[in-house]
Amino acid sequence: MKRVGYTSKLNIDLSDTSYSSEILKIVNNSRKKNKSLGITGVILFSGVTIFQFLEGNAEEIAKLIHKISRDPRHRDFSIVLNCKGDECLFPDWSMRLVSAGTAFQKEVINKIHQHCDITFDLTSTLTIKSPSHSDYSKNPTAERASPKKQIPPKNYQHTIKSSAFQLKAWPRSTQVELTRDITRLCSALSTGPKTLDNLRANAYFSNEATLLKNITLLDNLKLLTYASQAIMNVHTKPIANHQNKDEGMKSRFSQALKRFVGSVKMNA
Amino acid sequence: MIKNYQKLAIVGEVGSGKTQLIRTISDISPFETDVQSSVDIGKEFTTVGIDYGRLMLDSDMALGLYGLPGQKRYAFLWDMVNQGLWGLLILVKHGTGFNAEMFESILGHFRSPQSYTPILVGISHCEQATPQSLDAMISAIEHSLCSHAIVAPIIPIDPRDIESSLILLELFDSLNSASQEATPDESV
Repeated sequence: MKRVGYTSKLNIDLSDTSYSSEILKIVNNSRKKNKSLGITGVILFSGVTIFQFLEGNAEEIAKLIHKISRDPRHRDFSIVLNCKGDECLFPDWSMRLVSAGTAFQKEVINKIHQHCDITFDLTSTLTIKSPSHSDYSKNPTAERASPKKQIPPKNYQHTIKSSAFQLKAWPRSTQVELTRDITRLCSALSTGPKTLDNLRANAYFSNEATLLKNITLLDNLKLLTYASQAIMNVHTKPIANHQNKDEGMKSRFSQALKRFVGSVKMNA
Repeated sequence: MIKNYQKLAIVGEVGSGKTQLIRTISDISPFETDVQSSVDIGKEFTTVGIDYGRLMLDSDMALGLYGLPGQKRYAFLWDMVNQGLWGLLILVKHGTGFNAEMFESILGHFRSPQSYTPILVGISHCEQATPQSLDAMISAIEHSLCSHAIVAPIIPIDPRDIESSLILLELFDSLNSASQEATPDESV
């Protein structure tokens, strides 16, 4: 049983009177869809911020998460929980809406905490104010006036240094040239979330400046999705002994292929 | 004697360039299994079996190239090479409309949560393509990949061109190197 939780912000105008009906529409749609896929869970709303906890078949959840992360109604999408469990925490809820600031919300958060063996501060992730108390509602235009792309470089670098990120899609040939550095970076990021330290450790770049430049390039093309570093705990598994032989063979194969390609290019 | 043998499966619709690509990157003549086709694709013969070629990288190291038809009715041929693949190249032809059903049946068959096979999508016959038509086709392919939670490079290729073939091999090498450090079934 796979358990995944994410936070995101919805592209909904809080000052719009149809806000509540929009929220209900999202919950009802996900309830229907989840029921057909055998997925259960809860969704916590506060203003435009949501936390959704999903549990069910790993493949179905992976597909669903992939779709949500690319849904234009969501922004600042971030995976904050990724683990496995033996049984459903919320077997009767195909998607239960939980209001912010209630005792019931506390109960739900505690339940997720108790059963998910993951080292991140869930409560801080879920410091969500109700719409009537949020800074956003006091100044509804503030957040829209500061779109993600206008984050100063210093803050941006802070984000990539403190986050794990992965690739949503490869850049197109009509967008960028697939240089060796871009190819290696995209290959690494297409297999799962990586932190900046992971990328440095595996030398996925010619130099630090190029690495940061390429990450920025991918982000500007909206090809990256960010996640908490905490999920790296469940993305790393030890390599089994029987795999070492295969990987040694693949490594020697890779070296031979590089030599072969290099020699063909030199003779061309 | 070959001690290190890896397999690359090249799957695609008729006329997408599988046989040509194997010819280009193989150092031996592929054993051709062309037979009379019941499908009129504008050429006399089309592949209904497995094309085979081999790229020798060293005295004891080789890459086996397996060209397979893309139609689901030939899934029994896919199963013959599906174990321990070094890579899966899906060839799609530009200009004839994207066959999403065929594409997704290939993805569903070769990629499972239990196995992580590096996948690459090559678009052939791009000579007359405009950036707009190429983008539209890539969007359709990305949509299908996304529905299978797969992130894979999609690149235009010319199966007749050695440089284009080398780019494919380098990309697969890069994907394989990265996958050795990843945990595919935990990815979301």
